[in-house]
Amino acid sequence: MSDPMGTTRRRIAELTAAAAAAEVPPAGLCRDLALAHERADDPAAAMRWALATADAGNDLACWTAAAGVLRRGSPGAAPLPRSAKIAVLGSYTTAQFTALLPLAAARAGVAVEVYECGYGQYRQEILDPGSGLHRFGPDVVILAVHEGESALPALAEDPEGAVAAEVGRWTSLWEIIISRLGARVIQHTFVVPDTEALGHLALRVPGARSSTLAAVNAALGRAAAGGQSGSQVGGQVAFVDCERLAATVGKRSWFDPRYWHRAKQAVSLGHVPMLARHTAAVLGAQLGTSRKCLVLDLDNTLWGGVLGEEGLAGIALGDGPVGEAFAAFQEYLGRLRTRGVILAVCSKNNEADALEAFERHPAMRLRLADIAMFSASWEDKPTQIRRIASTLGIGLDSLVFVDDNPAEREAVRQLVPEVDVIALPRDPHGYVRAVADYPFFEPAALTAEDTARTEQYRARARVAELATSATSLEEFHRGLEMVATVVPLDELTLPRVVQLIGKTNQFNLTTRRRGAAEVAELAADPSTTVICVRLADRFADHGLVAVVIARRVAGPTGTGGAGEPGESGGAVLDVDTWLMSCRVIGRTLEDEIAGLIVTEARRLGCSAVRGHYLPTAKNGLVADLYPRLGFRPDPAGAADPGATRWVLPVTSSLNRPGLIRVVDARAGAAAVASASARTMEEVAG
Amino acid sequence: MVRERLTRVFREIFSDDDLVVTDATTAADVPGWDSLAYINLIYAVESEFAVQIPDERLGSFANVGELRVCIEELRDVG
Repeated sequence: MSDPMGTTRRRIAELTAAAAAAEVPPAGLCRDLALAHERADDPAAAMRWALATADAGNDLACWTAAAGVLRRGSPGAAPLPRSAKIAVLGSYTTAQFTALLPLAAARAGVAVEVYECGYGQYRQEILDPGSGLHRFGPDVVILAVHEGESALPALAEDPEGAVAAEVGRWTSLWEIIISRLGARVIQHTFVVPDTEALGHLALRVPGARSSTLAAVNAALGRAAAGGQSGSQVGGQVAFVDCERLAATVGKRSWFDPRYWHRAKQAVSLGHVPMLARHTAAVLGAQLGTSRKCLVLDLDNTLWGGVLGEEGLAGIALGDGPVGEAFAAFQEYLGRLRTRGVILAVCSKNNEADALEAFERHPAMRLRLADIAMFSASWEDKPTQIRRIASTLGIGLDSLVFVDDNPAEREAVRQLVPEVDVIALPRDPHGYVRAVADYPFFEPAALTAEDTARTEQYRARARVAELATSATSLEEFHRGLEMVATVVPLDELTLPRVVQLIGKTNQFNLTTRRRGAAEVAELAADPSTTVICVRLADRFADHGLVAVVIARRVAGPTGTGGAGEPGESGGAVLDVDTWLMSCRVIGRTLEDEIAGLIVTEARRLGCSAVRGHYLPTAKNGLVADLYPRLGFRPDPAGAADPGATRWVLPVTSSLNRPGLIRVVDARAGAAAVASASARTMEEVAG
Repeated sequence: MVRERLTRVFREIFSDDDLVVTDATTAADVPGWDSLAYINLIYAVESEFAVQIPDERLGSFANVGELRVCIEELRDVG
């Protein structure tokens, strides 16, 4: 043929028309579109369809082709929110898993560079400091291991001892990965085989291999949660529960002995895509790309029927098979909310009627207190969704949309493509499973803040409403009656501190990520100060929202003008980490925290505070924070291009807006308060 | 019919929509055909045609034609 590009364009037109005929095009069609756009030299479209292939099912050939498109992709495709170096260390043939992982990770928002160890060499790779793994320097290590790799005997004489020994074999590897490589761990759990020589009796025999394997899985989970005294792995180990995945697809489907013996495949090739998807979801959670908010339609989604037509008494909810299905869906959504997923409503309805249903219908499982933002109007849903995101202060790429109406789903897919859309089945009995199968709400931890999140976002929505009626911003802030509480770093606050360090992007001066062990170690150093701040206002307790880590270091010698504090040899408080949750940006809390930092510097006998700004793609917001607070450029400058360094003598006075009352709840706070009082007296004098 | 479906499987596994497969095609003729790709290919063939290729025949195919004959035989008895 004489016109290959014309042929490709016609092919794309045909494929696109076929794809438009289905809400979720089949995987083969998505793959064909990815390949066709690649051939047409349209990398953005090729990538989009490659990712659609990963959503369209679990077909190995389609995933393989789509992963190829991604691998060959040119820079024209949009960059992903995060990137990471991943090592896959396997006890079986992991080549197919490793080949598909970049596609799955891209779908989870992470661009990955992947290292794979030689067959079964995972232990040597971890233990040998000269190994390829150590040279690679991974951010995350995936332990893709199968149950044959456990050392458990067929029948253990001492089941508890055998389980403890097996757990120790893995936790010792974790500790090396975490402490020597500075990487996190994703552990695939052991799948208990479906073949059990002891039959059902095994359940009554604690030493049976199936019993001890299950016990090992549970004990590994406890070890990762920090249940072992002296454990250093807290918060750094995540799991892909392969036992649960195998149960979902059927164990006889998960493991195929023919491919085990042919090629040492411990996971059937038909299920490698699913394993890659779930591993990527866990990876995304560790790196902060999980989705945050589920946006819910009302009519025929939370209840059966159309409220505006049937009225409050006429909608199907609670009673009968259909009503029970909707109630079950609401109950499941309530469980998602409890563990930190934000719920929002996006409905074409009269607002008063919709609110009344939540307030008065006896069978509602969800109530207004469960909904962070309630949008019910006759505007189009893309417009409502954009407002939901901006009001809650989260990115559109944090939202997932659920609606029974395929046309509404398609409108959102086309006009707000950052939002994920779940294709609900026609039958409401399938709603729970459709949402449960969506993997990208994967949580990284469960903290008190997660459970309280909806109230925090509800408060934020109320704050937004108040903001539009305040006559001035200062008046608005004063009306919030904000209280900032400085709390100690302890076992209760450490998980949230680590979560903030891992997830905060916008208001983050240095974006240094640290795990729990490292933070605890820093805090134990008497020359280091860790400032943790909670914020509450008239509407809500926002929880722990800000963290500062600063170290007392020797100042420069003989640099700059003589007699200038901080430049003539006095100690300096170096602010290593300063971050604040995006929920409370713009409320003057940063000004109060600056005051706390200077107070700490005085307490530690420093003559100046030194701050760093290390630019990232997301933290431009704070590029000029230090100069705004009155810091001056540090004559020593900063090592990295784009980075800046700032200094402020402790004798300087800082602007204190006075809109937040600051309470120090740390042990020894009286001394600090006394010092502050003396300072005020000095000023008064 | 088996020939057309087999060609489709090859194109998918090797991500080459223009790949031409004949009975005379061997591993040396197909870019990217290594032992891993062979396992993927066998898996895809078994899925596509709902057959199970006996282990003793896995190493015996001299070319695609012999694979096709094996598939047709298995489908006849199946």
